[in-house]
Amino acid sequence: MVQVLLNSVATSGIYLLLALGLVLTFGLGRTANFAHGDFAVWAALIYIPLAGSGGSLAAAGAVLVACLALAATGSLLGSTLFRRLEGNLEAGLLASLGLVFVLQGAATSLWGLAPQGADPFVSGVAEVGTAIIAWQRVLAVVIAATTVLLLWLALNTTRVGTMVRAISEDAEAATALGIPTARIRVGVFGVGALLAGLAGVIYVTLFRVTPFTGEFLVLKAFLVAVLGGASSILGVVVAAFTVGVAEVFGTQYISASFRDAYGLIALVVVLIARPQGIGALQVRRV
Amino acid sequence: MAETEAVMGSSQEWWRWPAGSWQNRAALLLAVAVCLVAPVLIGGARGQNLLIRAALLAILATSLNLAFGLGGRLSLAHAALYGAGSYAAILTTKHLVANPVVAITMAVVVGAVVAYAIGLVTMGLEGISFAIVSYAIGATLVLVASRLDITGGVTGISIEGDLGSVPVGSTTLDLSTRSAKLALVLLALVGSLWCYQRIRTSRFGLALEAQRDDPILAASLDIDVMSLRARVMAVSGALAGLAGALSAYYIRHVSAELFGAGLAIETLVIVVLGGAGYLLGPVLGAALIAVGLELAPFSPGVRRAATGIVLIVLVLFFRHGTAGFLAHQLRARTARRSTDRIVADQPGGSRP
Repeated sequence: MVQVLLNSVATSGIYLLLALGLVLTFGLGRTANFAHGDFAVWAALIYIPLAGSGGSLAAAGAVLVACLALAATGSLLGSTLFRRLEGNLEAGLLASLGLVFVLQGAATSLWGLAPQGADPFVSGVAEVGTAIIAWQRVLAVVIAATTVLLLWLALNTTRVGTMVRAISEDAEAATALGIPTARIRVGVFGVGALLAGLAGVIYVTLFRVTPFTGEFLVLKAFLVAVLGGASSILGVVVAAFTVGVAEVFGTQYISASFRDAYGLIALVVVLIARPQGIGALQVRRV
Repeated sequence: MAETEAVMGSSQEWWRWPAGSWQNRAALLLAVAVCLVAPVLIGGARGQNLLIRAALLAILATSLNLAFGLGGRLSLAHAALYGAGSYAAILTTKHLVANPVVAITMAVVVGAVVAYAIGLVTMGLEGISFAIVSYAIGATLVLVASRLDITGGVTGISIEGDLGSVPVGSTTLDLSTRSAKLALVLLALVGSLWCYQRIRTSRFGLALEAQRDDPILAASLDIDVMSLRARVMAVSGALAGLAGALSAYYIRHVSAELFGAGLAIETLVIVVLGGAGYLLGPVLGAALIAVGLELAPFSPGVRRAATGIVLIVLVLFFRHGTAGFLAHQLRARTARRSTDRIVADQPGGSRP
């Protein structure tokens, strides 16, 4: 029982980081970025050769490089492609699907199709009563929790955070009040991609990735984002753990064949209960 | 008169023939004739394979064109529906009866039922929310299919059986040759296009377009927007199932990875490249993509990246696709000619 829960926590942390980036860019840029999962995969694939087996210093450097590369890519896309398509949700979504193919294709050409993994940052296991958990998983949860806390503080206590919230509530009014909407959007795209990168690097230390893992990751991130609602970070946190726990419990007690379906079942139940749509993804008509 | 035509676009535009008109019937007959002649004209295995692949993609794209082009439902679950059709056909052949007619019917029904269920669950969602949820549903179905025993897990399932032969009068028609398959797939494509055209010119189709352009206005005109959205998914799912069944007979193997996001996005690229909402858009798109990929000597990775770039360029610069571009050119030319006529008709008037 405790073992089952412990196993789910690290996965939930990764889903959480991914979904937060997605929610940030959706709330602000109104872009449903399907390439978000591929951002994570790219960070992982950049991280692997850089970290090699060169010890913790190399690993730390590699994490930094991978995340910064992703942040740069994210801001670049946010200031060019997605800025051009601003206001046309469908076009933005189609462009992000094109981006999925570009990133997957380029990753296939650069790194090949073979699944790749990386060494954990820390080795060994911790004992919790009779259950055990790898330190790497504990670290993953700590990183995710710290990131969420920092993000929450940034959004709720800083001046820029207030601006971000203002834009996501009413971009037009925010612009009229002199908030540099365009610049902040680009920044948020960068932060969103950075979060995806962080999630990707943590993911690759626990599981293996191929150029196509992004399809799977973005599915989980969307499930969490849709279930959690874009209005509060807390909602996303709860949704991430709900999906993670549902998957592990379902695997344990129902059937492992349907592992990935449990999150979807939760979503379908919500949709049937609220056919008018889910708050997070209901777009206000202008 | 000419002026109104120039402004509104001529009612005689070739892509807007009303259902049941003689032009329509003639076009249909011609298309059927082409389907039957094509396998004879194109004898080479490479050409026939290419044509079969393109036609299968065109049927799937026509199915998506119904949901997306006509209904405005940007579905990313169509690859999974295609997969459902494939599995249905193969499993029917393997476990029930080895009769292609039964198997294909089964695939069409399964495609429609699965799609209708998806439509019912998602009918309250609009625009990109629908796209996201349909992606989640499609991707999950594929993940589950790759883990079940009945679908053969990751390796998938193969069949030895083929379309076999069908007795026609005193002779039998051998459907297992490549030429026969090509003719069959092309005929299915013509049938799908005919369905699309019939639906577009029907009340159902007009209501769909109204719902796509303005759901609130449509609802105020007593159109049941919700059930319309579920029904268009069902019709579209039937066509996707048909395409899936035919592809199962063609490649004689199904595995879940074939029906993932890759196929979903590729189908969307075809629809957008050809021109969403145009009858022949999916055909143009499928032809361009299939021929382009065949001729380009790229590695699979570069091909995928190139396809992605095509989509981004289309979204940025050619939102209406090839058919939209051609129609615009045609309309502009008609308008210019009408203007010439008006100027020439005026006393002492001639084009400066």
